[in-house]
Amino acid sequence: MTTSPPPSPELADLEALYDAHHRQAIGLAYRMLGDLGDAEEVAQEVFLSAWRSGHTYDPGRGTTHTWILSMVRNRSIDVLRARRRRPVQPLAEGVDPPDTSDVPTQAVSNVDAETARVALNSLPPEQKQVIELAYFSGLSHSEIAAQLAAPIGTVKGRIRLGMDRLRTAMGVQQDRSSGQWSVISGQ
Amino acid sequence: MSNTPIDEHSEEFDQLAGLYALQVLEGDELARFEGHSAQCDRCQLMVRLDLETLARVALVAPPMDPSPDFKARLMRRAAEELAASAATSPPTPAPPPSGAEPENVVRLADRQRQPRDPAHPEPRQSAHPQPQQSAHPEPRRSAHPEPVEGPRPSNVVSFWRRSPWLSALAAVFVVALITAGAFTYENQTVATYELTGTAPGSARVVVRRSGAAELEMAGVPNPDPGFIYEAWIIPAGKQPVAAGITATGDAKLPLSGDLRGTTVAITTERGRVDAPTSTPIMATVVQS
Repeated sequence: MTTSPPPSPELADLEALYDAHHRQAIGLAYRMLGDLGDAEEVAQEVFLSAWRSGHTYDPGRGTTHTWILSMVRNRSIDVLRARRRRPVQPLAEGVDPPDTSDVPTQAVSNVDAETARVALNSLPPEQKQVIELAYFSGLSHSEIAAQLAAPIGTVKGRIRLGMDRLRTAMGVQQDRSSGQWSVISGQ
Repeated sequence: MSNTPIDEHSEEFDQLAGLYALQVLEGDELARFEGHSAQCDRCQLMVRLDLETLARVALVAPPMDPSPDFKARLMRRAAEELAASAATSPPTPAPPPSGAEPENVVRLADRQRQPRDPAHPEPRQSAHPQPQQSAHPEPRRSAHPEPVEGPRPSNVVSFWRRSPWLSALAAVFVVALITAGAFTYENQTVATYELTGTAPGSARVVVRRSGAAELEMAGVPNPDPGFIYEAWIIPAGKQPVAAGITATGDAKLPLSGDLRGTTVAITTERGRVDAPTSTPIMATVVQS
């Protein structure tokens, strides 16, 4: 997406980035951290980081929305791990967003928010639990196993099964003609 | 864990793909999976698929508003960084004058009408004063010229008395010129937003100074027989609103309403529908 003519590039870019994505970014950080102050701190760092490195970001490799939320999750996991007083394993940030170049994810994100909620809630409780612990709490599979007092293999299996169910429920399917994966909205 | 050869896919790698996409894989397992997946198309597809799925899990978190001053704090900090970097780097030459006024000039004009806290100036203004504001002030609208002060030249009065019809024609001509100028001014493009997606050709949202907007498609292949293109305006967090349909890939479509912060998308449909039934072929976000 381009804006023509480019207005005062630096701060205008940040403002545009913020206006388009801040509510979902804050919402995700808050969901993960449970504290608005921490969520805002994470979001601030993410927007500044995205703004600083924006010129290196290749929109063809994923939507800005996905990119921003990926950074929010990574930073939030860092905060969660710091809270747990564990050695923090820095996560790759921003420069390597998920490759969804064949899918205008931003366009369907509004439509898919409800679909995603329904899909997650449709999982068997034990599968939903492990995926939420991994995604929103940033727990490793061994930590999840310890927390649930379940074998690691069981946790791995639940995550795999849960991911497969989510994929189906969210309509992420393989385009057999092209061999590429694509997202089918509203299924 | 078994020592599975790097080039041999097993069910275990299917499980690790999900953990990898979740970014919760650790230690030796992480290294093993990365080594294997680098050569395994199936694993790469699994990860890609899982990432795509997880990108949607993020949407489960309800959007929420930050503290009222959050944006100001963010912008202030960015402005401070810019100021610091400007102090250590050579000045950037001012952009050349432009016929079409940038979008943010309008915003700045609006801001200048608002009271400002001198202790916390707007970062955009403090860090990057707009050269257009002083060197290239907003052009006076030709449709509303200031009245000319001073005595009326006597030859104008005499001309009116001598040739009233010619004077009337001249007045009509002047009014027409003013009207045309106003139309041209209001019709100036202040922003364009290119749609991206899987379809060839191009599409863009064009925003005029008047606030009117339209979707322009060019070079997009016509839809298959029995199908049409349908445009959508998708407000953040809300359901798509149908904006219009076209049977060709070269079309212009007026977009009504406030587009700021919305997503504009195009889908292929079997006929006009009230909600999209397919993935958008092209889309963009109209920044506020």
